[in-house]
Amino acid sequence: MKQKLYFFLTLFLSALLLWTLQSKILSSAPPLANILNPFNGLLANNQHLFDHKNQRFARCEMLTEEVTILFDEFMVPHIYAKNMEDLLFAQGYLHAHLRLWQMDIQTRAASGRLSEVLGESTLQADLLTRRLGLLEGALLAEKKWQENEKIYSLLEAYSKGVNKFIDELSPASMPVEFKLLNYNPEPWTPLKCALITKNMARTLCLNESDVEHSNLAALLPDSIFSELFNDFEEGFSPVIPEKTSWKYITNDRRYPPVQQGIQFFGNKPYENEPEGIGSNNWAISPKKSSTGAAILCSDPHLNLTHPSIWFENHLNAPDIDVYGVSIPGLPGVIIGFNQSIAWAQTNVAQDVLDWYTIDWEDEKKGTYWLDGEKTQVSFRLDTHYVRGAQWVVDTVRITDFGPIVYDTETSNGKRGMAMTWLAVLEPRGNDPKCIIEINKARNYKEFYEGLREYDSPAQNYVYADVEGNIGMHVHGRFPLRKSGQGKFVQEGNNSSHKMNQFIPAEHNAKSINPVRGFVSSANQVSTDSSFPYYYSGNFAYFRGIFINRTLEEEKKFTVRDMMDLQTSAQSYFPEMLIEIIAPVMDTLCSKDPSLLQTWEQLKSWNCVFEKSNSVPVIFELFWEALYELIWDEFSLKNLPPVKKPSKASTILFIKNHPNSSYFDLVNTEKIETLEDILLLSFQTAVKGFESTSQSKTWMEFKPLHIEHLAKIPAFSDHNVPASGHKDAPNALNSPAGPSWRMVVEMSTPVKAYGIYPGGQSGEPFSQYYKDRTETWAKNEYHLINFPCDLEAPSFQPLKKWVLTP
Amino acid sequence: MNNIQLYIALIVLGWLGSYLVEWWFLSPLALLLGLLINRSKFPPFVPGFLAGFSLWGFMVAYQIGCNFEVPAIVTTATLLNVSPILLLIIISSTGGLLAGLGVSCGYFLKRVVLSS
Repeated sequence: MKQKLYFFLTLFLSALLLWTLQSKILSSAPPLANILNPFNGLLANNQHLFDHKNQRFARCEMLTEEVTILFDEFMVPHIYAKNMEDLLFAQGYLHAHLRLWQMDIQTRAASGRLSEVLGESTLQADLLTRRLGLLEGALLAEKKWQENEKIYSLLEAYSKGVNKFIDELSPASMPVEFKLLNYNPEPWTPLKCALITKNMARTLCLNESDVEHSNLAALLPDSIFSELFNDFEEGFSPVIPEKTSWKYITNDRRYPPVQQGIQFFGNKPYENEPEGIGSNNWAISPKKSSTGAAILCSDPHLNLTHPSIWFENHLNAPDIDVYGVSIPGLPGVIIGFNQSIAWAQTNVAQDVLDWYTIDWEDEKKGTYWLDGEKTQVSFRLDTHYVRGAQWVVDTVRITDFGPIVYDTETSNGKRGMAMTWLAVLEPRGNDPKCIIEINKARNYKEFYEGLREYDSPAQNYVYADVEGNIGMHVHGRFPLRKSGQGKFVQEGNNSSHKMNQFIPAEHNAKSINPVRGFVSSANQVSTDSSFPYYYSGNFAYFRGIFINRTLEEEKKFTVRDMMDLQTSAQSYFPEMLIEIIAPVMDTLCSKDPSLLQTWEQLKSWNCVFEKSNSVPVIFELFWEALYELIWDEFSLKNLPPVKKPSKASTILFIKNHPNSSYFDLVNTEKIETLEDILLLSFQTAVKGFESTSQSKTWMEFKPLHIEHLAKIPAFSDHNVPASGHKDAPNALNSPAGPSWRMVVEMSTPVKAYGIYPGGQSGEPFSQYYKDRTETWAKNEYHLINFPCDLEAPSFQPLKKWVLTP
Repeated sequence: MNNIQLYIALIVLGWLGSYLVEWWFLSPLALLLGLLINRSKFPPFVPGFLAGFSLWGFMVAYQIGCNFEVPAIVTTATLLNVSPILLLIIISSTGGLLAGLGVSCGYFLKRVVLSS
């Protein structure tokens, strides 16, 4: 009897233990066995990395010829193939090998399928993603890509490479995140490549302020609104040099301004991307270069994550030899160079998303008024599987202006808000074709032929070549607008408001070999106001002015000068403010010795946001207080959503309207003046700084964190010591910052330097996961192994892989 | 089968089985080997636990040895907010429990069958 009892007890305990290890006890945690078992749990990924032997031979039936991959000391693969299909197959294989989970989660994010693996917590985000139409946009893009069989076959080859790696995976070698989240990767397809492009579009061109502008236009006098929200702000330094001739645009399409109705709108269902998403690029001509060769520089500012958004690689086949960074999930090189040309992008930041109010006929919301007639909506059923829960079906109403993303309570009653977003419309060009053709280009003509295929999100493409040519193209697809159109919410009862005409690609603004000897862009306004087509956007101001001012100096720049400019933490923002307020502040602070000392410190500061300096902290505290006090009108509780003026507009407002009534604080009886709020802000800043025991230095005050994509602390880097500011060339604004720095001297042979924070491997247990972060934070660069002389004794690859058919 | 034989058999077969099948193979294997026990100085759980503990412990050590640059045990311990040593003990003990309970189960099953 006792034996029976013991048997059943031990049997029960064994079963209980196995069940406990295999089950998800907490919904947010993986089964314990995925973590604890040393055979194929997390620790097994160590062995998987060890298996990446220095010499590796693998058989890939999909290949037509042998491919050799050499990994250099930075784990950068140099891929040598004998044709394009094999080359991109190998690139897909390597992207998957080192970044599979990143590729998977990003396509899930873009297709609104996060809740399939993450559960209910991401359902609302998924619903919004699908309503924004990213999946439909990707399907349209894929359809367009299919029209070019050659290009589509390259996408298929890339996908086969990814799938080859997925097929090789065992439970033990599965990337850590799949184990933690307890799911398996799906096969890759060209549609997923399209989703990666839409994910990028969401980051770069979803920003707009139609609702906020409309509310403000109803609240502010026209003259004040125009001044505070003017795209061509005083002192601006556009991407395309001022006074550029637009003679090549023969058809002047200026329209009369759009009239706005007075009404207020409620909140949108999402927030704009935070400030800091932006980039710098520039090129100097041989006459400004100390070596006599053009120099091209690029540093895209995107969210800094582990793994990095970028993957560095070198692709070589008979008609292509290109080096640069790719986005895992997309074939080819996005920013890079070959032995003839170099190119890079920054975001154009023009507004390409329009909102329209839809007047429903009745509460059923099945018909709406358009051009005086009742018009039927069509319905789209978006189905979402939510892990651990159920299927959710979202019924989306589709109008002539696009999907109804949300309903809003306007001052004219409850109305639907339809959205037209250029990034998800049927594309005009073929983006993968653009990438491949630019990768192969040997001169400006070939570069421009490739660029013409580019559609969205619009980018400022900088160009330089070994012949000494430099250029800048503000390129992509832009809506053809009436003056003022797109800046405000439009009435969706008039079909003439539709975004259905576009500026011809050949009319896009460009500058080739300008007299000033350089081209540059830093997300500022694209042109001066003489450009024949209307546009608006969310443009940066200070970085462009600082970079152009530096490049205008009468000197010959070295590669080191270019690196110093790229990593400069100096900003024109404090310089401009301090210069304008100095006369007033001198008088105000002279009456209070305790303030005078701090003010003198601020005045003599070199405007460098240096990591261990405390003066930038005082400045930032001062600015934050001042900005809040000036625009306290816009922080009132009962206001509809509005957008506060930019920093530049605010500083210019101080300069041009020192006696404005906006300086009066709305919550006090006294009538405050500019002097009053300057003094109050400065006192607040000084007190705030003195009362803080920590955060005395800039890097403590604005710490930089490089987080894992799933925000897992153990896989993240916290408090990375780096200098910078979002309005300095080294535009650090955690979590965003310079995600790749590249300087290319277009000599023969080309000499290039590059660095990004993080590492080539997406595997947190790999030594190449974040091995470059320290070098990046010190503003140092790696000398790039290109052109790659395989016979040179200096080139000693870490690993050699051979893929055979 | 005595304790030493059981210990060695569990480690060798457990290692092969967990590689070829799955980690949970250790549990039925231990049960099977528990049926073969003839002589045991200790309760059968003890040699089983020690074998499972050693097997999973050795395996952790091997995995760490594969990549000294970034010890996965440290990263995983940080992830779970425990010390690496404690994590090593937790992992090894899990293996010990699987094998110890399995051996005991087999041992008592044999006694039940024999007594009936």
